[in-house]
Amino acid sequence: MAEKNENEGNAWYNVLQRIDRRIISLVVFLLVSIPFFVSIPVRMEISPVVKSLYDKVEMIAEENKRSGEEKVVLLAMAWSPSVKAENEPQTAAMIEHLFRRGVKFILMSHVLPEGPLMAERIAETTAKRLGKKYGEDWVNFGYRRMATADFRAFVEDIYVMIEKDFRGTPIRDVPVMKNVSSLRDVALVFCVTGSSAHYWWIFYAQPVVRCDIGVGVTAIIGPEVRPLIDAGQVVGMMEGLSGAAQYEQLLKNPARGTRGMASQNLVHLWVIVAMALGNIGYVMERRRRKERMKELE
Amino acid sequence: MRRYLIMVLTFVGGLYFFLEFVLPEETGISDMVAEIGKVTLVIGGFAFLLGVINLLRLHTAKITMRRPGYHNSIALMVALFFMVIVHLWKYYANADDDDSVMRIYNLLWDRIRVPIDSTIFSLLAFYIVSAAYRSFRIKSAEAALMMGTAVIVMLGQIPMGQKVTLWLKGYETSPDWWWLAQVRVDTIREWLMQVMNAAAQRGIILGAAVGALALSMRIWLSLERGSFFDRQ
Repeated sequence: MAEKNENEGNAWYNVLQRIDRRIISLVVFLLVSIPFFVSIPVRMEISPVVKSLYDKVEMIAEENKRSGEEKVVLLAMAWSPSVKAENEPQTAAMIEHLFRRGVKFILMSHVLPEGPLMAERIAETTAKRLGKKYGEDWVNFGYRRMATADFRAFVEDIYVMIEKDFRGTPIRDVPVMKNVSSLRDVALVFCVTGSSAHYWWIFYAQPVVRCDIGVGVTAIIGPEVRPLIDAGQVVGMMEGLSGAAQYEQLLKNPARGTRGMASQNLVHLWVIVAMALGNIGYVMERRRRKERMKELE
Repeated sequence: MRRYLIMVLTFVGGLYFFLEFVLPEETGISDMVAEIGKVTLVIGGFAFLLGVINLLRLHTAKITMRRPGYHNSIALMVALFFMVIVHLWKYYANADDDDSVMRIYNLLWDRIRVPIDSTIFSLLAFYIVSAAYRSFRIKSAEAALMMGTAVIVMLGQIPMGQKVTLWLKGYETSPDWWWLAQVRVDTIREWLMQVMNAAAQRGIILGAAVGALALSMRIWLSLERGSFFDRQ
């Protein structure tokens, strides 16, 4: 009987339920690495939330062209290297779009100090390729620590809270700020974050200046943003790496997001396969147990 | 005396921002917001300094008394001071990309800080896959429903998953079979996220907001324990 039980423990359906986690992790590692060596074509269906964000930027560009005004976009960079894999491609895709369409933008963060620095590097690289110039096409306010009251003051008057950009130039002298007297002149706030930093803009800025807000968030924050899209408080969203890849597809510029999506593609499939294997083992074991109970009766 | 001073300042501050939010702009109450913002900016600066001093006191004590894990405290102090010194040096020397200080700064930032942060966070992927394998077992109807939903959301997110039902897109314009285009994996995922998930999220947000309101009232009226730096 004991021998039989021992054999039962090594049955194939039990083995399926006890795959060593080191094997699972090794497969994850291999699948993440494959797209670095083998090109895997990535073609995404565009989600309506990504499309509406893209359309909003297009609309701003068209409106600027039509009216001769120079409405700017504010990129709130509330992210750090920990969420680089998702937030960096989102930032890069948005910067690429704004540069291409000639929409000027402001980089800043009041939540995390790393965001504007990481975004500045992306802006500089993209600007070099597209022939854009700091000060004329974008400005970086850098990191300005602000709590609720200070942030509320910033919403009321940008110039009171921020006097110089991160290079030390008074922001009133920066050409990008020529037509910006307050946040009311900002056509879109695009908040990129791996936390809930977008709520700052929704709670304290939107009710006062009625600005449109778009977000680029990690996939884990995405579900939290959905009700805000439904309510019209957020105009569109890039959700995780998939959102960045879709935006790149709309720009016809496959870059970091698309490359990352190839890895995510394989790992998601592995999660599904692993779950299926575990469940096949579980169902078979249950069936076997029932049969044995019947035999004993 | 201190207790009453804190109570009055907290109440007046809270009352001002409450009135500023509800009263119309014409009353001119919002004009003071920018000035108050400057004051809180300065207070915030002091709080930041206080945080660093606190951190130093805590870890200095740990090192001098050789408490368990004091090696980590040494690493923290060295990293803190080294980064501060290099940053100030870079800032006041107005360093160019070719300067040696800039190279040290880039080494600390690009080769140490960014990879460490990204690596630690990316370890989550390994844990999540392992946890999904172990925990998703169809033990009940609810568990089956949850697993089915998870599989659809995952498939709808990736190109290979979307491809499985992409052929149904061709029925979009068909007068009789248009509904087939609505049962694509990516469309069902979008529906799950935008309808089912949003409904649940709304409930959570509403509950959290009521909790936040109650907590705000307690802080505003100085009813919260610890408001006067006394023992919790």
